[in-house]
Amino acid sequence: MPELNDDELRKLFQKAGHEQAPDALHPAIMEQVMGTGTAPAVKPLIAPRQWLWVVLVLAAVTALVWILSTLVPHDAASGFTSPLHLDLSGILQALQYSKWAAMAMVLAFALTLVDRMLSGAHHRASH
Amino acid sequence: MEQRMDHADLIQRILSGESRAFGELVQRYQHLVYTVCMRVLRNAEDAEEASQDAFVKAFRNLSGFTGGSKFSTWLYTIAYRSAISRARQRRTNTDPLDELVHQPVAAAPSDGLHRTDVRHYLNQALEKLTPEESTILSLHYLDELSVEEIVTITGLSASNVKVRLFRSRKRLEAALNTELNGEARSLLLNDA
Repeated sequence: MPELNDDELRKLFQKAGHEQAPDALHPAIMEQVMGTGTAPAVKPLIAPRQWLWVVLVLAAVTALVWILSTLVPHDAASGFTSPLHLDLSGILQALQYSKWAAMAMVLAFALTLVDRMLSGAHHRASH
Repeated sequence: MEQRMDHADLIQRILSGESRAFGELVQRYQHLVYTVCMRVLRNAEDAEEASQDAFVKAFRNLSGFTGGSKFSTWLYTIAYRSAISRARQRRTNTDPLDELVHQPVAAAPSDGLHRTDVRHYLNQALEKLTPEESTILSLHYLDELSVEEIVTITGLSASNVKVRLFRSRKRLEAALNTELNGEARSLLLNDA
């Protein structure tokens, strides 16, 4: 017997149709959905997982700055020179003592708090 | 395109807090999702629970649907994964003796078959294939999904999907002919 071709197989599957979901499925899903209390609408901009990355990057940068700063000879007249012949002392000092860096971090923290508060408020309002 | 807009509107309503609008999506897709789960699990009770899990997960993660793919592909992916995870859970929990017992196949009638008969014989034949093979066949021939969409749903590579489609087609045909005494084409495709 010649084998069934693509069109014939399609016709066969279409003739059989989809399995009929039990009548209880729809109400069971809706009951769970209405009862979950989970509003999918608004999520905080920074997810907990992303926070982990932020902390890791921040820790790595801090460690790098600290390690490099220990290598800078404080009494050297010409300042610390990296293997790439770049003068890093100015950058390191700026990173260590910059008010701007500290203010940026405080602002980021404040914005995150606002973000979380807003998403929480939306969450409560939608239920 | 129109359906995509329609979906976008529905999803927007759900995301803005109108959870009841989700019922429309369930209404539209429940049979499709249930079919995917049945192909993988081959058990009505498990398929119902996996479908329920899939819809609840879809609801919870709806904001993660970016519209990069069709909504149906996104939903099928969730359904397929829910069913696979339930199948793994079942494998660790059940006694091998509790495996499905196949019903004896009724003798094939001599003329064309009705829809329910076609479904019966097709399901019997699909059960001779692996769950993955029968799901791929069903997605391709029943839901008319492309190889790329099946790749997204199953996580297999495109070449793998093509090979499996080819092999499972052959195996399905052999199983159908065994069930119907070599008269699969005339019986199943006859518009009686």
